[in-house]
Amino acid sequence: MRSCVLAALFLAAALAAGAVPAGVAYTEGQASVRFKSGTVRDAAIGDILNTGDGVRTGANGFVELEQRGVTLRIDPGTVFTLMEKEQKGRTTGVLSLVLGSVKFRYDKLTGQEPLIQTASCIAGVRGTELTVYAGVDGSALIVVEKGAVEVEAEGATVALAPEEAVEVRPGQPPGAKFRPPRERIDYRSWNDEKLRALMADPAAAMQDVLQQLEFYIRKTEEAWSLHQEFSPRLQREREARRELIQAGRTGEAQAMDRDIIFPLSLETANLVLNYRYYSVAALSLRRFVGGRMYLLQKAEQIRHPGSPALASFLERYRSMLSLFEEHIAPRLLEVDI
Amino acid sequence: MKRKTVLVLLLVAAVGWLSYLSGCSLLGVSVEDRVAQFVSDLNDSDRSNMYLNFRPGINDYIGIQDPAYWDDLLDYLDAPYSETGLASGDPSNVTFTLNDSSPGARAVRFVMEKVGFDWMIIEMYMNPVPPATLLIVD
Repeated sequence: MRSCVLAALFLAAALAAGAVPAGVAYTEGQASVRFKSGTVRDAAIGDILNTGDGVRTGANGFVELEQRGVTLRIDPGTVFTLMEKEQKGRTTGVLSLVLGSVKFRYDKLTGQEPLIQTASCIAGVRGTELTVYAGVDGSALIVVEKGAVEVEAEGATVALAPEEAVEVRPGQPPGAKFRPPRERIDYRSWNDEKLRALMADPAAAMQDVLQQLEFYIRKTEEAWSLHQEFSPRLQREREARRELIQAGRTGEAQAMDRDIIFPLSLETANLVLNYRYYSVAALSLRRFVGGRMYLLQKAEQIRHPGSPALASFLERYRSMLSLFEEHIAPRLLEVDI
Repeated sequence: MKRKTVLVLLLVAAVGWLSYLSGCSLLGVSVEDRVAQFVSDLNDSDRSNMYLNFRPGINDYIGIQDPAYWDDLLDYLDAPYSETGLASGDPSNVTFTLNDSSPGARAVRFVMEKVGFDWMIIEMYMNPVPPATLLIVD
């Protein structure tokens, strides 16, 4: 199965760095904050965003967030959510850009710079200034102004230096590096281009989303199946320890707890963090990319009823929903919905 | 005389009201209350509310919402849990021993932060023996 990792905006900090909470430093135009509780309200200076909270800007909206040494400029027409994941035994916060564009500016580098994630790739940030664009079809464009960024998708990695850019389509490895124009790329023009391609071949665009979802499913299931393997083992070890205690072999029970049970319980619990991360990422993909594509195509259907392209799109869209319901929905919690 | 009586009664009522508010935690959740709530939630077979003891926005927040996380970490079969030796003077270094019925024990350390009126956990460290090692962090 092909995997696809993209670049959107996920800002993560390593365990000790913990930089997830972000404050709204400036806002203008149409901009709202969606809190984890489900409450949505107009963004206001001083709002604090935590894991699970998101920001959405309208066509004339703009928000500036500040987050421990990082300034994020959220441009018009952007949707993103703060998330986190466990990576190599450490928990990493992630700022997920679903649609739109965000510019990151780091005051200083700490060596624990965040991951940036979109629907199609993940970018490891070593830079001080970069902009990430996420298109309506799930594509991402990463432009580095200062510093360095590594973009990973489909198991392939591209290293970007200053004044270099790369585009990643969902389900595809990163494209060829290129030198971006000196003036800032206009998100609307870039996204309109994606939209035109999407409308020209909606089935192909939905196929890309489907592949991205398959990647999330694979990662979710990897962590889930490992958890299913570890969890009974942990229970067996715990049971064996209880038997030692009942037999009065307290010293051995204590040693078993310290050397086997405690490390195993940490390892098992960390797998929960992993499958939670990927399943919640899949939920965002379905809601914001797949759902948006569906609405666009439904509008198109009114103008061109009976289009074969639309039928093909709908077939893939239904496959996406079906895969989601089968593999991701069982991993979600009530608080996610 | 009558006026004095009324004042005394008002004072008694005010003290009573404050005690009531405090008892109902309407004045906020203290550091000690938070530890007690954490332990109490561990003793509930449904661990769905465990994450509510932590400040929203910590890095692990989405992960710890899953009750499976807590079941893996601290087996419900070892309940009831209780705490002893609570040292709560410094909210950035709240330590206690978490005892279970097996019998077993964990050294726990919390870093707490006040959110509104309530003290919330932002980091959690745990180990079978002191010192506790990093588990959940902000």
